[in-house]
Amino acid sequence: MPKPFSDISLISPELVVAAIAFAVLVADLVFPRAWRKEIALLAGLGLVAALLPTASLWGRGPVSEFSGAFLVDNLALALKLLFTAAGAMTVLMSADYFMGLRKGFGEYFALLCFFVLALCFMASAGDLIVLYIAFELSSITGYLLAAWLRDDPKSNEAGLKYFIYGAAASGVMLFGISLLYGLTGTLEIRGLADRLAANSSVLGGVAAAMVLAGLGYKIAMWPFHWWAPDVYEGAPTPVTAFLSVGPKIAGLALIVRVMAAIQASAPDAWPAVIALLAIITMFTGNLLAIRQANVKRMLAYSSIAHAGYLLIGVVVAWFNPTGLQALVFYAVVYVFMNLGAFAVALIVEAQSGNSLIESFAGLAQRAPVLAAAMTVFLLSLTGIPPTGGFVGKLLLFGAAISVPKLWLLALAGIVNTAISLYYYMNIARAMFLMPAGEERLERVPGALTAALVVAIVAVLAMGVAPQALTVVAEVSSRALASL
Amino acid sequence: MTLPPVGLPHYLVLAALLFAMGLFAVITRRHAIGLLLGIELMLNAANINLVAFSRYGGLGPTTGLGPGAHLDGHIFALMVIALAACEAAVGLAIILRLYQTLATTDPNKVRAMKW
Repeated sequence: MPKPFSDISLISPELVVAAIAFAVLVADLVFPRAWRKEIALLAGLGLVAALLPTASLWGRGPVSEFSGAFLVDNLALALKLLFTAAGAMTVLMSADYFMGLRKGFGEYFALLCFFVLALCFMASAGDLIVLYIAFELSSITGYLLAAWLRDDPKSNEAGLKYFIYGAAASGVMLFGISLLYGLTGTLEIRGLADRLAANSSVLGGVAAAMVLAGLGYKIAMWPFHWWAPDVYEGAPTPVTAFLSVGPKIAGLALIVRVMAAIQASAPDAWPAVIALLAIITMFTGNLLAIRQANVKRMLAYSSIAHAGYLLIGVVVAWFNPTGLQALVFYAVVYVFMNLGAFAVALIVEAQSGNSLIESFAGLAQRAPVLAAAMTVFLLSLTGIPPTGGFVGKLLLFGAAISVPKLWLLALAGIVNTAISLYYYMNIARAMFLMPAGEERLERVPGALTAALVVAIVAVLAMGVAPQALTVVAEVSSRALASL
Repeated sequence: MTLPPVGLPHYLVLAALLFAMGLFAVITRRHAIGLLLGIELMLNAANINLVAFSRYGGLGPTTGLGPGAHLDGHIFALMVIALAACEAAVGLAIILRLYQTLATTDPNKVRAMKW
């Protein structure tokens, strides 16, 4: 009889995040309304504290725990650090935004912590049960957070749309999982590959496609991206910021892990299929972003396009480990630049009451520092030096060129980068060239400023001195291969 | 006349039919509650698959799943039942809010945002 587990410390990051979530929930019940700031502080500091156990596990592994249900390797750990940091930044962005909420302030932060918990489990999923439960936990918290502004019809609409698409996608994915179980007799992700290869059938391909549909919904991949613009526009802006980074990166990690196993159902076809999906996703996101007048909606399409860029890394990773390295690097940069762009959008929205591009008019005169920060994020999203986005795209496209026949992916990526320059610079044009209104910008809350500073330092540091992160990304990508 | 004993294929066909009906309901229903029911059908179709595979063994020759030897599918089905309940609760809460702010439960009429 094997022991159920040998080392509980391997899930210490998850335990800490779960403890924080419950602590926030209890604190909200016990303490009076006047303590709202302290409750937000508890959530933020708790998530920062959760970075420590994760960091202390670095280099342990790859090991699988709980009879193979839970994997710990450097890839999972790097992603957990990323998710926890993104969660902490979202707390900073949310604290003042939700301060006026009639009810549900504490629950918001508790749910955000549960969301981070779900993402951490997604990064470590070793079997399909854990994968599905983590996937659902992240979805359910996501539905609730998107609909969090109870009296705002747009927020309700965002919640409903996210729920309908999400529940349908997870139903399809679960059916695919049940077929995979029947075909292979195992739920362990590692065990799937050999057994699928041993008896390949059409049904295996269908099941794999169904699983991909669920994961594709999570990362907003074409043709499962239709929910993204409406949900991103309607959801409260801090929630949108987190939805655009957290689930996307966690979903990609699952695609890397799961598709590596289930591509055995049709090893010749799957890379081509994913490559095609990556190209279509990039073009869909970028072409539809061009005509958007609302910055949140534009960033939604931009995030669809980024799912496409990141999928390039997934395809290349099957042929060359540099693909996964580039994917991890770009994922880290993407989280910080996107959160930063949303933080600026949040400030402008708080000032003008909407997030239209015209609200950014003359921001360079009204708030030069803010306009400069937004410019850095936009340059990074486009992929222009000296930002992290440039290095990330360089690594991704470079990795694609290094594999024969995949240079087409790099070409599509470069064309898309050129397209994206147009709509990103549309915001810069509004900020620098359009005349400013009368009003001066109000003082920006301290917490939000802190989030902004972290984002901009991270984006610039990764652009100017990318070596540290490339090493981390390289180590993470190696961990997966050796398992 | 005796009917053939009920075996794995029967369960799989039933599950496939249920899944198709659920998906059809999700695509065509004009009422949010109807959508929710469709989603439940899809999840329960997967549950039937999981339990049937667990009981009768897998499809392929290399699966090594002896009849009744495997509990994974049963456990998974129990988890799915719990998750489906959570999902339904959250879905109903969202639909209720929507009805209170917009006075409709037809997802097609909820379209303040387009393109």
